[in-house]
This record gives sequence, C-alpha cells and structure tokens, in this order.
Amino acid sequence: MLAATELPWVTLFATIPFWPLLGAVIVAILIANRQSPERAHAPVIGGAAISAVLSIVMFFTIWGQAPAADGTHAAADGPVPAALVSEGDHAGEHGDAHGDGHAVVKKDFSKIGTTYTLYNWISLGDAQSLKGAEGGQWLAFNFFFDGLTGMMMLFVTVVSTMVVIYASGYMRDHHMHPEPGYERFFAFLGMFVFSMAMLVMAGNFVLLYLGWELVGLCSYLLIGFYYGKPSAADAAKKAFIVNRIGDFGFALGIFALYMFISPLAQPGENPLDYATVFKYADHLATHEYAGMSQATLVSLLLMCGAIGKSAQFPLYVWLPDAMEGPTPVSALIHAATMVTAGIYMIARCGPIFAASETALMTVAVLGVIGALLTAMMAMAQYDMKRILAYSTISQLAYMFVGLGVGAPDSAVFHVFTHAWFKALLFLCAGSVMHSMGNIIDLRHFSGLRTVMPQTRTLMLIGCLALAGVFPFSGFWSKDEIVHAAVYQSPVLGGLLMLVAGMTAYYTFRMYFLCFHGPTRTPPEAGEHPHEAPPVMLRPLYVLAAGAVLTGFMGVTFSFSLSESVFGIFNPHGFFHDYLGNSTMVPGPHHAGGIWVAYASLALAIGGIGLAYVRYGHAPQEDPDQAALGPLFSLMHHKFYVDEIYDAVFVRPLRRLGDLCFGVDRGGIDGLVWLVAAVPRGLGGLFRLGHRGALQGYALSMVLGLAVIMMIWQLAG
Amino acid sequence: MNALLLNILILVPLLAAVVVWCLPERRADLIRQVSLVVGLGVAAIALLLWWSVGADAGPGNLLGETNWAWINVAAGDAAGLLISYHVGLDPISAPLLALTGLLIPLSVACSFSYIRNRQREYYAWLLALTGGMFGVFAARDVLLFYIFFEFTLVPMYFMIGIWGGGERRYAANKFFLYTFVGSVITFAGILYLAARHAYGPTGTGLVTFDLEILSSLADLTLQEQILLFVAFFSGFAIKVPFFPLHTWLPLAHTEAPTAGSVLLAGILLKLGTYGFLRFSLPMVPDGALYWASTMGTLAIAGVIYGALCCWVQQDIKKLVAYSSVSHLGFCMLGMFSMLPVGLSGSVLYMINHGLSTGALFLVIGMIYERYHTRDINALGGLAKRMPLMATFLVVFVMSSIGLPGLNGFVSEFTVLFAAYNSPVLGPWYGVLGATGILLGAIYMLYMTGKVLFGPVREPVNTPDLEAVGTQDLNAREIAILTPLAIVCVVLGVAPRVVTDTLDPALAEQVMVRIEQTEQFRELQAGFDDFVYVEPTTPRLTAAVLPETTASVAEGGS
Repeated sequence: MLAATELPWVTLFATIPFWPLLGAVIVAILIANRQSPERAHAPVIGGAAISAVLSIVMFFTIWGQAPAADGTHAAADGPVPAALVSEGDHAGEHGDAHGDGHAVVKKDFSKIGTTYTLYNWISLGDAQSLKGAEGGQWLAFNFFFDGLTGMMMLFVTVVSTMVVIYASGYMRDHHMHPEPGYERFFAFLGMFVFSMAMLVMAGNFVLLYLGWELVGLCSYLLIGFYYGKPSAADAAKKAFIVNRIGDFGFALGIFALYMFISPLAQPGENPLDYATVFKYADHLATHEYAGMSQATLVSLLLMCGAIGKSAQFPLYVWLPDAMEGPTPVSALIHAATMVTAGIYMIARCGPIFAASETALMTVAVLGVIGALLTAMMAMAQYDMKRILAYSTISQLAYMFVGLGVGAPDSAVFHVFTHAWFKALLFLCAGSVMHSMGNIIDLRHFSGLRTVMPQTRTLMLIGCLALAGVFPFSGFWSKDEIVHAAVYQSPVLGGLLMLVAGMTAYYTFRMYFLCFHGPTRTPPEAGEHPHEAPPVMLRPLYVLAAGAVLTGFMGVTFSFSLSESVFGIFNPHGFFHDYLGNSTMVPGPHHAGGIWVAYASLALAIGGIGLAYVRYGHAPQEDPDQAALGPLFSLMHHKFYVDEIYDAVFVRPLRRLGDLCFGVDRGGIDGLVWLVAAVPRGLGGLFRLGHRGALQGYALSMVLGLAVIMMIWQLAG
Repeated sequence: MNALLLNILILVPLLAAVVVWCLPERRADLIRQVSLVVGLGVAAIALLLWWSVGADAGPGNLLGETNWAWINVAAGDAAGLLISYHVGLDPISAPLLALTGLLIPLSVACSFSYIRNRQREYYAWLLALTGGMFGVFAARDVLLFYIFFEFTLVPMYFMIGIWGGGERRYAANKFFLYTFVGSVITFAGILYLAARHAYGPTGTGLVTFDLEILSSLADLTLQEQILLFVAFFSGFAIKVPFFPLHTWLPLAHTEAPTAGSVLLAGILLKLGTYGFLRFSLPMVPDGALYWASTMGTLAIAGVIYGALCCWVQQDIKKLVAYSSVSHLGFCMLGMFSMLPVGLSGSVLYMINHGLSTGALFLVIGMIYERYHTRDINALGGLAKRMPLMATFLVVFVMSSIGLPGLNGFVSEFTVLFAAYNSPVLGPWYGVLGATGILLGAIYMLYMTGKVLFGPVREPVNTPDLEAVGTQDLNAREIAILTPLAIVCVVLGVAPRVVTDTLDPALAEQVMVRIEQTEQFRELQAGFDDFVYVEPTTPRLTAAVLPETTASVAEGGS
C-alpha cells in the first residue's frame, strides 16, 4: 500500500507462515482419525522445509530490492542508504567523553519495506470503514517485508526446520518407537513455527501481538508437554503468565500508539501499520504526553512486552523453568527463536525507540543488570539445560544492551549468530540427555568424550561460539555489541566484558564437567550408552556450520592493522548492509577501537583457561562451591528471586482474592440480605396491627375517620 | 417470508413447549427428539435471518417486520394507548438472535444425559425459554420487550429450582426475586418515558411504546435523563450482572443444570447489556454520559474484583460464573467508552462471551457427569484420561482469556482499546481494564493446570460412565462442542462477518444520539486538547545534517 517498491513474488512470500500451520493441521487430522503416530513428523517437517526454502528465496529477493547505498559513504562506514539523514548530536547533554555522540539517524520510512495486505481484519470504527468505503482505517491482516524480515525469517525457518528434524529422532525411545504424544508434539511444533513466522512477518502492531501471544500459547503447550509432571505444568503456567505481565504493557503501548498516530494518519493509512507509525514517528518525538515525550511513553510500554518475551530482568524467571519441556522445545523456543521476539520488536520499532534517549538507556541498563545477574546464576548450576538457559538470558541481555546503545544491527547480528550456536548447544545437551537416560545433572556423569565423540565435537564448536572465541560466530557479534557499548559508556562496556569472561568460564565449566575426566555414566543410561542416531546428528552439523560461518556475514576483508581484527577482518559487512534496508535505526558506527575485540577475546580465552584449571579433570567436588561458599549457594538458588516474587506478588494477590471473595459473601451479599430484610421487617411491623382482634380494627377505623374529618374541616 | 420465519422463531418453540408438556413422560425419547428437532430448526432459521440482515436494515426497514396493534385503546384517535406486537431484526439484534439460535440445540443435546427425571417438564420449560429469548431480541415495542424480558425468568426459575444442585431452591428464589425487583423499577422508567412522550410539551396524547419513537425523544431534561438512566440501570445492571449487583449470579450459575448455565451465561446475561445498548444509550444519551464515568469505574471494579474472586474458587463452575462478572465488566466498559469501536467491541463481547463461557459450562457439565464433582482439588490430570475433552477445554479457555486468533481477543482488544482512547473514559480506564487480561490468564490457567495437568486424580468410584458411555467425550458431546470451537476460530479470524453490518447500525442508531449531545462534544474537545499537548521543549530539530554521519565515523578512531 505504502510501499515505494513492490517486492517481487510477494504473494508467494505471504504464504510462508501458513505451510507449517498446514502441517500442524494435517497432523491434527491424523490424530482425529487415530492414525499411527509413526509418520506424524512428516507433514510438519515438510511444512517447515517449504517455509525455509521460501524464506531463503525471500532473503535474496529482498537483497536484490534494497535501495542503492549512497555513493558518498564508503561501505566500511556501515549501511547508509540514500534515504538516511542524521540529525542532532546529543553527546554533549550526557557528558560523553568520546564526544562522537549518538546522532539519531533518520531514514525516510516511506521508502523502506513493502506492506502486503491479505485482508482487513478488524474495524476500528472510523467513519470511512464504517461505510465500508475505500480509504478506511483498519486493523489489517498484513505482512511487512524489509531487510529485517528477510534476515529474521532466514534463521527462524532454517533453524526451526533443523530442530523439527532432530525432534523426529529425539522424541523416540531407544528402540526408535515414538514416545506417547509424539503426534501432538509435532502438531504443536508446526503451530509454533507458524506463530513465530507470523510474529516476524506481521505488518502492524496488532498482528505482531497476535504472533506474540500465539508463541506464548505454543510455549505453554510445549513446556507443559509432559503435563503429568507437576513441575512441567507449573512451568508452563508460569511462562504464560509472566509473559502476560509483559504483554499487558505491550497492549497499552499499542493503545497509546493509536492515540498518538490516529489523528495524523491520512485516509487509507491504517494507524497501527508499521508503515504509518514509522512515517509519523517524528511526531512522537516532538510531542509530549503525561510529562514525557510520546516516544518515551510508547517505547517504555512496548519494552515491557520485550522484557517478558525475551526473558529480561525482572521478568526472566520463566525461562529457566521452561526447560521442563522436551529439549527440542528448549532449543527452538527458548534459545533460537521465540525469545528473540523481544529483540526483534525493539529493533523493528527503531524509529520510536531511537527518538527516546530515556527508553534506550532503560533498555541498556536492564540489559546489563540481566547479563550480570544471570551469568552469575549460570556459574553455579549443575543442570546442563539450566546453564544453557541462563546463558540464553545473559546473551539476550547483550542484545538488549546492543539495542540500548544504538547498535540494533549488532543486536540483530547477535540474535542471528546466537540462534545457530544456541540451538546447537541445546540439541547437543539433548543428545547427552537422551543417551544418559534423561539424566542431565552434571554431577552424575563425566568423561563422555569417549562415549559420544561426535556430540562432543559439535558441543565444543557451540561452546567456543558462545564463549566468543575467534573466529566462531559469537565472537563477531558479541564483540560488536561490546564495542558499541564501550563507546556509549565505559562502565557499560566494562561490565559486558566482565560478563564475556564469565560466559566463557561457565560454558567451559559445563563442557569439561560433561566430556572430560573419567568416564562415568548414571545407571539410567543402561549398559552401553550410545552416540545419537544420524537423524539427530545431521541437523546438528548444519547448525554447527552456522555457528562457525555466520559470523563472517558481518565482516569484510581489508588490510588495516589499526581498524581490522588481525589486520584483515573488518567488522561491519554484508549483514549490516543488508539490514540497512530496514526500519531499524542504528546509531553511528564507530570505526576503530579494535582493542575491544582483542580484549574480549583475551577475556574469553582467560575464562576458558580458568575453567580448564578448575574443572579440566571433571572433579567430583565442585571447587567453586568450596571457594565461594555462601555466595555459591546464593547463586545456585538464583538469589531466591522466585521466592521473593512469590512472597511479594503472588501471595498478596492471592490473599486479595480471598479478601474479595470474603467481601463478596459477607459484605456485598450481606447488603443484599439487608435490603431483602426490609420488606420482611415491614411486613412483620404491619402484621402487628392484623392480629384478628375486632376491637383493634374498630378503634383504628374510628381514629382514621376522625383524622379524615379533621383534615376535611381544616381544609374546608 | 422473513417475517414468517421470525414469527416461527418466537411462536413455534412456545407451541412446541405445550406439545412436549402434553407428551407422556415415558416417551422420553420422543420428547428429546421433538426438542432437538425444534432446536435445530430454530438454529437454522436464526442463522439464516442473521445472514440475510443487511447493513441497511434499521428503523423503517427492519428484517422480517411484523407490526400488529395488539392493545389499541383508542383506535383511530390520536389520544389513547397503543401496545403493538412489533417484531423485526436489525444488525444489532440479529447477531444476538443468531447466538441464541446456535446455543439452543446444543443446550438441548447436552441435557440428554444430564437430565434424568421429569424430562417432559424440563424440555417444555427449555423450549418456552427459547421462544422468550428470541422474543426479547426481536421485539421493537418496549412493552413487548419487557414482557419477554420478564417471561424468560419463569422457565429459568423452574429449571434451576427443579433440576439444579443442592442449593437449588435458594438459588432459584434469589435469582427470581433479585432480577425481578430490579426490572420492576425499569418498568416504572419505561412507563414514565411513554407518558412523558404522550403528555409532554410536544406530545400527542397517544401513549405508545414504539422503540423508534421512544429512542428519539429530544426534549428530556438532563435531570429526567439522569433519573431514567437509574431506573433502566436497576433492571439491566442486575441482569448483566454488574458489580456490585452480581451476587445472585455465582449461585444461580453453580446450581443450574448445564443447559441452564449455558443459556444463563450465553443469552440471559446479554439481555442486560442489550438493554443498556438499546434503551439507556439512545433513549437517555445525556443521562448515560452523566453516569458514564461511574459506569466505567464500576465496570473496571467488576473486571478486577470478579477475576480475583475467580482465583480463589474451589468449584470449577463457580469459577466460571465469577469469570462472567469479570467479562461482562469488559463488555460494559466498551459500551460506556461511547466510541463506535467500543460499542462494536461490546456487542462482539456479548457474542464471544456467550460462545466461550457457554462452551466452558458445557465442558464442565461433561466432567461433572463423569465425576460427580466440580471440586478443583478433587480432580487432576484429566488430560491423560480425556485428551479430547482437554483439547476442547484448552481451546475455550484460550478463547476466554483473549488469545489472538480466537474470538475473545477481538472483542477484548477493541473494548480496552476504546476505553483507552475514549473521550468519555480515558487512558486510565484502559490501563486498569487491561489488568483483566493478566488476571484472566492467571485464574483460567490456574484452573486448567489443576484440572487437566499434573498427576491423575479422580474421586473414588469414578468415572461413572453409566450415562455417557465413554471415558473421553462421546460422539454426541463432540458434536456439541465442535460447532462452538469452529465459530470461535472463525470469529477470531474474520470478526467482520458480524461487524460489517453491525458497525453502521450502531453508528446510526446509538452513536448518533450520543454525538448529538452537548456533553459529548465538550468531552471530545477536551480530550483532543488533553492528548495533543504541544511540546514544551523541542526534542529534535528538523534540520538535516548529513555531514554528521560521516564525521562521527571519523571521530571514534
């Protein structure tokens, strides 16, 4: 509608989300017809694979369509399409020592992206749409295509496909018979991929909210997959409700956006479409509401949603518990895709967030708190999946910081690389768990390098990527965020570097405890623990390739000792150029500062080295526990945050419920009883005069007559 | 043709009630068959009528209009009394009529195994109730509306009182007396309005109860409107049930047989909200605006309070009953936002609440038939025992808590959206109302988690499969729930099948009356000022400084 350039094959791309849904529906029909579950994975794998292929085609189509970069800017300066302008150097206001500032870069959003409307979904009741006329304002069911969509869809669908293939092996027992609920699992997975694709491709805020809530539903169903386990049922409920807390703010953000945008929108512009909102984003920055700029209000509210979905402080508590779901779910939902939704949303809303320093600062500060806190928790866990879960929160927090310091392209880059290596790590952990007879506690096994050599190699690749070791993908993307943070505030950058060291340490603590030392296996693993079957290993190689190679998407090669890592790798490459054609609003790219890369690399290697010294032989007694004492226990118990939330929020609210119900029965219904007692009481009063005593009636008749006579006399 | 169909809809169930009453009790099969056939028939007709309502149907052009002077005291003379049997459909009443039609055969079918004694009377009352409910929505004469409105009390009174649970007598009495007392005051208001029209300054002396005429009185003073609003309020608010006049509802819902709960929640509560929409708003717009913020506040109180009460219930049915208090609060909130999108969302809410809550009551009834308990703590892990039931329950729970893609979301979102953006209510109403989406998830998932998930827990000597035959849902039960699930999805994906005709009608019949008032215009102007405060300090300059980008890139090194 508002697209400057029509994307070729857009109708075809608009079908991407629906293939996995079709797969899920087919599985549901199979279930309804009580078919054997043996082939239940096929429709969903098929659907996801079609989506993945189409997404790859879409990725390149969008690339081909990107607006030409302005010739005056060298590629090394980052993506600066012609539509870009920059304004207002705010550095001075914040006393930033570097003085190179946070110039807010503006794009002409009417030239970016293609909106493709399937149909008009909900009427907003404005005059035109009431008459059904053309040019009415609707909540449309539409998709938005730009560089960010292309990039997100690429990894969402490809990683999801790999996970679904893996799951078709994982969800079976040792004899390769499907587990109970196998077909249900695949129906949910198909629905999940559909929801995530809807979320990413949505062309307006309400459809984004739809995808947002649907992934919430799917996570509810998948985390609670083993619903017979109370812990799984509780974790599912917790995930949904904690997400809803964030969604509460998100919904209010949408309402506020409408309030501000709708008077500006011209006929034919749907007020909640991205295209419209970003077109008028300037207005939000320059106008105030409730004592703050409209942009600040909207972005803080939207951010609540991102905090919930991307498991950031203080709403991260659902994610570690979500490990109750089957491991492929953890890989899919809680590492690679679903939790990236919040990052995606903030990146998508660049024009709004970039217009509010307050919002960006809040995002960055929450991010760094979360990164530090959860990295500490990860250091004291024994459950492999839990360690990975905390590392996910910590890495997402990195992305938050990236968004907050005006480097959304770096944040999305980290999302992208993280998706591959984190899915890889989770699935490797799943293979270990599968082989160990569902035992995942690191205290119960060690030395698995001989038992599962392939898994070990794959896991090592994932760990190196997570730790941020050159040249694995995590190194490049994490470094960019640290780099941007250092230029924003040395404190922020310093803390992130510290977390980088901690990440390397706990990642390799886990790795060494699992694969090094003497070979021990728990009794549950049986006599001969085995390597994972090929159907589970093959997708891991694809993910491992991603973990190694995707980092280079963000790098260009040029010889310069001062500006390139090891003299040839120049940060900022194809990835950033590609994302230039998107609604993101990156701050200026700071060239130089290559020391940051070396420093964080040194910290990563230092962390690994320390982990090797302390855990290289997989000791039975945890040396950290002895060394840290009570602090370790505090970290192991996650600083008792769950307990605090329970005491501060859940129980008082529940008591309020008790109170309300008490008031309902005693107070409100009591009043009803009181009112009902009035006629009865009056009746009782009148009954006194009607006792059948004739003298009484005669007396009152005489008295009554006397009164009437008197009145008559007086009146006359 | 449409007129004939509409009259069939009202009269045939009443007739069928008599027929069923006359059948012998031992022919229970026949009784059920007759009831089901009538139910399916009216469902088909109701849906057909709704489908044929065009956006242009309205006063003067009603669908299936019948206007017959029923009581005409002074025929030919202008002065006198005229009560008409005037029925007809417009896009506001048609969707509610269709909802009624949809729920009737399901209610009949769900009673097959639930009702084991005095079936003849039961189905007769059920059919009588059917006719009454169609009559309320079709009525275009205020007195006729009132007659049908009160008439529905009687069958429901007997359904609760005879076939209800342990406290059925008390529940039935309370239900009847509470709602009846309120509606008597409403009746007084109606009489005053009619008299005021006939004998007022511009009156002709003809006392008429015609809905269109009474909806367009222009010379009521503000004082009169305020009081009339209160009079209407007492009947309708109790029916809604509007906090704090709701205490009859949890009891009646809990004690009623399944079909009674379904129709009570699905349709009878909507008589209250429909009454507000049809009477209070267009007849006394100034009065409605005067009370709007109070109504909004009470609606929000109901949303939050009802939700909190839900959370601590031990009886599943009572939990769902309290959820109605919360949900109808949303519905009223949307209505008193006085925005087109709010009114539309409010009507959608009526329909969606009828579908999802009705469906929840059906599922709970099915559980009850097997386990003879509704105690949350006595049940657990039923997903393992009844996977199909669990699937349906999760779908309806999700619909109830407003999951996007299902019907509940569209109405919940538009209602809150309207409250937030309303010149009459405003952002804080939206913010507080939106806590309901959070609390709703809490209590519903609490219930789902307890009943469906966790280790299997069943009371001793259950499940009792004597009446239903199978552990999981049987074919009849699947046939009852499937249409509801389908409609939930359809209305979530394509709400415009309802709103495309509904919205223009609401604009022409209700919004226009509100927008005419001076009060509304002032509020609107005030709201615009409130939202679009000019900036005190410019945040960003519009100056284009293209060189900054380049220079910054240098500066870092």
